[in-house]
Amino acid sequence: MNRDIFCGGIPALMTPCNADRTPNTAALVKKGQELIAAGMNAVVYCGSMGDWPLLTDTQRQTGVKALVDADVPVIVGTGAVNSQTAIAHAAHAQEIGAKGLMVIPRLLSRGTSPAAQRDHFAGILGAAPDLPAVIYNSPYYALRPRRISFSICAANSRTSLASRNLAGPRRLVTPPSTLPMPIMHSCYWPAWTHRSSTVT
Amino acid sequence: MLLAGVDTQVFHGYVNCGALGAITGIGNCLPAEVLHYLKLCRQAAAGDAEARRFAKELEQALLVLSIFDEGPDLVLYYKYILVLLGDGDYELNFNEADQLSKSQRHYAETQLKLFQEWWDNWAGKP
Repeated sequence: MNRDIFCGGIPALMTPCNADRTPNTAALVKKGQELIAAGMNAVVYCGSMGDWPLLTDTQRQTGVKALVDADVPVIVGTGAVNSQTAIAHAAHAQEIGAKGLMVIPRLLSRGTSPAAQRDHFAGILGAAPDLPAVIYNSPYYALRPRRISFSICAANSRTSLASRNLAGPRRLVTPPSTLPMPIMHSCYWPAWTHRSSTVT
Repeated sequence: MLLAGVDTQVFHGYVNCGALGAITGIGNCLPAEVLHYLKLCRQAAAGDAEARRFAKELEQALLVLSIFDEGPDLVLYYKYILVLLGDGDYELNFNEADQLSKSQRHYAETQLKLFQEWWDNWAGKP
């Protein structure tokens, strides 16, 4: 599994909007191509920067496919209210030739349940077994990884180190002990820690 | 493997924590400058003293534009900055009411201009 996709600069693309408030897919692709030509290694689509909560699943997948078809290396955001939808985005990403996944926790329902999060991540990663994944931990998801012990993203949240006064990492990575290992091909902690851990 | 997940933490992530990549918001708008920043951070992480100094200078100069990445209006800010940079594809948001306030727009304009002028005068640019 090639993890080089996660090295270097990775802009999280925004979704350009037509006058009728639908996604402007041509402009999305144009921007992706420009950024790769400028030297970025890959793009993320469709994460929070892409306004995923404001788009339909079809709109998101249309954008992802258009980028892939234009030879833009895409890391697909799987954020969704329902784990089943996230799983569908992951499967679609692998099927059409995206290069990686960006995975966020389960939101809104059973979000504080370790078992629910374990199953959520396992389901998504299992739906795209050939793709490397980055676990994205954001304070906007209002989860406390350490408290709920979903160990795969137990690194610091963006919140804890997004303060202007950075004394250094405040939490350490917890060994990934609660996940079903066979389907965890790789984890990347997008926040900050003195230790990095890789699950293989 | 570790990635920087927000624009304000790139230096810290690369130099202090061993990050190898950065997911960026402001990089949509200023790709050349952000790529140079990543290069300097990579060099700083290998012990290059001059690169470290330049990386910190660039981090500081980019700070306000990077902090937008931490807030709830990140998409509004970065779309607006793209428009200021001449990219008309980013004028609209999906919810019509999702717009920066007049003072937010003014702040973005002022800070972008400040950064651009600083960059033109900066000894560390490529």
